Amino acid sequence: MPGLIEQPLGQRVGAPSAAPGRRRVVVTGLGVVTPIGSGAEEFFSAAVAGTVGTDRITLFDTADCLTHQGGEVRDWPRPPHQDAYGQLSRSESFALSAVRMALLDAGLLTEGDLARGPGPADVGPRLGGAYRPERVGVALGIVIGNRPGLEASLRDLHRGRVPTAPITAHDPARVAGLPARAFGLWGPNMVFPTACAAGNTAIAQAADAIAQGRADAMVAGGTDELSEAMFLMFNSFRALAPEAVQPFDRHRRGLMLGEGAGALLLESEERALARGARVYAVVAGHGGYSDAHHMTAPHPAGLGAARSMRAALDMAGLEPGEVSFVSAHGTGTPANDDAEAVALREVFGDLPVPVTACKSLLGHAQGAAGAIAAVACALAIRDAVVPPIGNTLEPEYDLDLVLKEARRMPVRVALNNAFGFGGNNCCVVFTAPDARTPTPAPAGNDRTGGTGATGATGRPGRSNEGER
Amino acid sequence: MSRVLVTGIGAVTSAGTGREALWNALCDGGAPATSSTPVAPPGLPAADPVLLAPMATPPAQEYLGRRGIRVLSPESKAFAIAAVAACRDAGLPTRWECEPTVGVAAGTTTAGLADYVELLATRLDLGVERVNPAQGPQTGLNAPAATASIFTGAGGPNLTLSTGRAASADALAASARAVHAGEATVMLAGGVQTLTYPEVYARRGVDPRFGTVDRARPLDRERAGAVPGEAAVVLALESADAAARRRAVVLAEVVGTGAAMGPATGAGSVSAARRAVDQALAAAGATPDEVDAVFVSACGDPGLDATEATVVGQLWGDRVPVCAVQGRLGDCAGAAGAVQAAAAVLALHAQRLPGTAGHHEPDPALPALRLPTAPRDEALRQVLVLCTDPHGHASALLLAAPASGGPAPDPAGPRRTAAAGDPPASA
Repeated sequence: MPGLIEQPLGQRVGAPSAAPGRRRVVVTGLGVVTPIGSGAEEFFSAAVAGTVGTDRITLFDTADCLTHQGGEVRDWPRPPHQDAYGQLSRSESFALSAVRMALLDAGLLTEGDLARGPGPADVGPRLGGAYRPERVGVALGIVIGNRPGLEASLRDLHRGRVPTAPITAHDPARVAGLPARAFGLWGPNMVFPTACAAGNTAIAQAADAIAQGRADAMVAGGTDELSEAMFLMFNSFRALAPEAVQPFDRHRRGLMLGEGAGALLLESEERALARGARVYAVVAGHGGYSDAHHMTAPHPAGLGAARSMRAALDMAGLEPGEVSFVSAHGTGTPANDDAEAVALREVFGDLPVPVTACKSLLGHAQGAAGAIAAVACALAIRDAVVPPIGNTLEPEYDLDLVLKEARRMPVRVALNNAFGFGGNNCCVVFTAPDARTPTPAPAGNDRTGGTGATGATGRPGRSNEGER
Repeated sequence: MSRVLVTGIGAVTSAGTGREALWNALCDGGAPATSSTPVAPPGLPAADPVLLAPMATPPAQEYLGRRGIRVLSPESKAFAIAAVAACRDAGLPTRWECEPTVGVAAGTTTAGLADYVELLATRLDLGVERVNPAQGPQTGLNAPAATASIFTGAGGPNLTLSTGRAASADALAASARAVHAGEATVMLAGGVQTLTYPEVYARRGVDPRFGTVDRARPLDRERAGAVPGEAAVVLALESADAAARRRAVVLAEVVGTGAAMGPATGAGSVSAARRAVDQALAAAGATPDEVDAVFVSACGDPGLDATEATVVGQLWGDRVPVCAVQGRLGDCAGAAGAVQAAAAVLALHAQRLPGTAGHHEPDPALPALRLPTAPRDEALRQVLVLCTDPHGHASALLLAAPASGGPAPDPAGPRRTAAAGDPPASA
């Protein structure tokens, strides 16, 4: 089955980006669950309108904490206990919904397929005929994934009660495993807990799986839920914003935790076009380099971030001047935004590249953040509009921030940044479907050096801990 | 594209620290499980003791220095130690300055879980002001790989995978692809797994017998479940060109990888495992006849062992020897693939196959397999590592002795590669 398997590891065929056998990967389906709307259209129209979805947290008690707000998905039904899957956590429930939306949106799943219910003994396949089930996989990023599903049982235990249902939330593999079982997706199945870069990591690795022939299609993205334990952690860091998330603002005070899921249906361009699929965007490049610096503080010179952006552009065969806009990680913490501003300056110099940051609207959806932002990038390319940053009133940096209202403009290339604790960084470049990029530079022949700390704007005497 | 070589192993297992300790334990045979009582977080009821194969506790300062080790979780500390040990074993530096060509990848399913639970339990029992900020960064599953990158200065790709018992084999496969593609010249890749209170509590909620088996009996007719194991194992994967330039000792070559997903049980799980093996063989351009041994993840679990026995039976019958290291080291779950891969590399290096500890009598309900229980010399060209998970993940790696593929020739002159029968070097 030549062409359907991974390239032999021992074969010298050139770098992946330039390899003749490497397939172009496109986005043909979108699914999203966020505090400002679920489903691609509802979410993106709210984002373009600058709707702020952060509010007081109701999922757990914050009375004795320093702050009380977050990006909670309201009115989400309590995930049920299912005989086949056990008790679902919110993050698992978000993931199942987002994956379902992406499959439906791409036309790989129909309402009729869903109405038929699961196959015998939970073995599928449920998908229509476009692909064999073992050629369609799932890759999802998480920070904590389903671990918050432990919290109710722990509270019961602390009160001396014995939890009634078996606990399943200790197994992170369920996050991607459940969608595989629900929809009969038996290709590569991956869970990437690469901190808050995880959504982008999953998209990058899934794109590689298709490009290298290990799969024909992948549902890729991320999911996470609001967690009391994580809230306590950021509370102890004093890294949470009390009232608003203000990326790159002079008066920014921190992040707000959020939740949700984003899923993108990726497939090879050749197969997508052959089946007449609508193409939102091309996954043109990605790059991931670690800071190797600190568990919670970003590298002050944005070293890993700058390397990751450059590598993603190199893989796409693009110059910084060709980027239409940057979807920044933009958490609103002093340290993250400092480091990201330095990294953007390092990569783009004086180029006037518009920058947006959707965490101002959503809070920080952790492992889902990069994936939700990726959905926004694909829709920005489709609709030629960049959503605005909310809440930011006094920019601290010399960046072309998209403030107050959405910017209508042709979008040919979107760079999506995602950075996380432990120095995990991953950046993904999306291009318009009709954009033909030049032959990419070989991976490894990068421009990741030369990221000296020019123009650093670190704040002397200020702790950077806990501010990713 | 570069060929991918294994040039070093770092191991912290129940057998001790270092690859020599690992190899000696595998060749020496079985050891009974140890009873241990998981430490309960504040305010939570004590757990019953667990029988397990606990990880050794090496002197962290010797590997990591003094700075910053006090706040590390056991998983992060052990994985970082294994990473440094792998570098030492490979003759690589143990410290770079945010080097973009050196990356890290870890497979794990439990990293950070105990710290996560303790954050919440502390608030419930002692109040929010007692929550320890130093504990927070270790709650993440990515903490071990991140810690290894921080302590070694590996600024290249950094990945964590949590695909059940396939996690560290998947981490090794992703790392091999990164080296192959030129995204890194060295990847420090493997897995880490510990057993702590919340995992024990959750697992016993599903299976009350969890942690009560005193000896694992892989593929045995009397098998009654796994002995949980703890481990941190890292392999240094290196591009052939880089290894040749520094005249590194080559232990093995990664020539094929495969991964698949299937239903949790029955024919579907067999199909997934078979697809993973087929992919690994196809990626290497190899046939089943070119495989001289199979390192399975069978651990004494009735269903999981049956799945793997079926796949091995389909492809090899009783023609090739099978080794299940979990019989000696316990079921290391997220680290299982790294433990198996390390054992397979050492077997290739020594041209000797360890026996399967705990196996006494074949199960007549399973396909007939060739399952030596004592170590023996074997001519090993290529060995296959197979990991399966009860929830459907499967991952396979095909490893070759250096002589069977040969790394890239060194333009600077002759290069020493390991000869068959060379004793493993100390980590």
